[in-house]
Amino acid sequence: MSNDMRMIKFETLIKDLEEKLRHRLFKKTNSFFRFNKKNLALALIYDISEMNDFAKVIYENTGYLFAQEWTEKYSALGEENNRVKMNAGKEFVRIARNDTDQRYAHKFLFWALMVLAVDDKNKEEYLSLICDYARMLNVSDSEVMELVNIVKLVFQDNSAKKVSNANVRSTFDELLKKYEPAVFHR
Amino acid sequence: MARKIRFPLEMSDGAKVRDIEELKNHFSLESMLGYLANGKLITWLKDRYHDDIVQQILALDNTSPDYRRDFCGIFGIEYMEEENEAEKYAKRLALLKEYTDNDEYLDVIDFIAFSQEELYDLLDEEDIDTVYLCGTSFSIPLGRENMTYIGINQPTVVIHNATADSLNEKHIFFENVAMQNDTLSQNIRNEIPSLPQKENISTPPQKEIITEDKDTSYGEYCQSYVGIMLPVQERINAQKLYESLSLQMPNIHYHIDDDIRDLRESIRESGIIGMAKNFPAISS
Repeated sequence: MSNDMRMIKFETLIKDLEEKLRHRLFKKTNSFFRFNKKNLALALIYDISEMNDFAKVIYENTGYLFAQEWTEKYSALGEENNRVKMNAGKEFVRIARNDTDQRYAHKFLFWALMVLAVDDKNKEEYLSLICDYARMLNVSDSEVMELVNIVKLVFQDNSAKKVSNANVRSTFDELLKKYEPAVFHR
Repeated sequence: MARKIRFPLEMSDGAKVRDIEELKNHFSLESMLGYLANGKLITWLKDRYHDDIVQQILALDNTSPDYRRDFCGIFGIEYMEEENEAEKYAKRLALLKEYTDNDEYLDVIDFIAFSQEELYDLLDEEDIDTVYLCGTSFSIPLGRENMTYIGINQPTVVIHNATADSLNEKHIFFENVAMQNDTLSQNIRNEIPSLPQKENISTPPQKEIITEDKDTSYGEYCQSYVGIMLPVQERINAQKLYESLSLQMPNIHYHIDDDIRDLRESIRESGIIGMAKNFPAISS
């Protein structure tokens, strides 16, 4: 398969996942929120310019539904220094924590883990940041492990298990409807 | 007026410092950064009217590569950078050169103990069966079996409570060392199992070199720009989470063809590939 075809196929996969996640998030949409073209929140963790092609597909196609004010204020987050990122991170955490069912936090961490699954450059640094954000967002360790499990499901890994955490299932139910059977009914 | 209670800061050496001089005398960068992260350092300084130091700390750019050096500088402490691997190797090389010019030891420099502490560290490695001794004297623990100890500069080896038989049973061998000290070891000096010839000694396990597959294992948790915003306990929790995740993530392998592999094989096995070449409209 040519590289172009690989990228098209991967992009299709990512867009499919994103669509299934948006389905859930749309229910909460109001004028305060909007879709971004890019997943700006990933720039809190990753150096976008260093991402490989697969990771960039995720960054560019998983527009994070988030507070419009934050999105506009940090529209160039990928090019900012750590001091700006720190401020952006604080505000991001404050807004995401207001989401009582943690869907934004779950989705943010899920995409961050997806990037790590396809691009392991500086993996220690980025995984450490993911863990730091998980703690700041009050996402429990067991929930993060469930997110890892969902990444495995997406990539049809044999060690994937059924997602048991109700809170996580709630965020990912549309996605799980498709990807759990793909693994467990093979 | 109620008297204000000024709490001390406990440094990594256990000292509870109550004034700036004590703090400098027991300065621990890691402790200080921990107290800075949870706000205790600032409170401690303000309680003692060191507002000038507070201002200097707050003015630091914590994303700067010189952040730690600058932080130490505020307290008049010289910052000692941790040695990197290359520096450590250079030091060991220089140390070895003090004892021998024999280049064959360069290949095993990672397996040379220059001190008792380094010997213990090497023995902690499960896959090591040969240790090279370079120094004055080493105490050999009997708890680690199936070992060969090779002296580089004929160091003195001390073995407590051992007999030739017990060494034989434990498969502990020596070469180019001087036995001394303990009465029992004196007695067994001439009864030490015959030493294998140098060329027959099993070479230390070399670190596996992976040339094709990428290293998927994860190293240590890294301090991040976010970590400083976390309370100390939460940072510890983040490290624990990192350790759990770092075991899971290497197991996730993304291959673009995973989802079609079975289908592709089924179609290939079905025989339809090239089937039409005998179809009249195509073959003609």
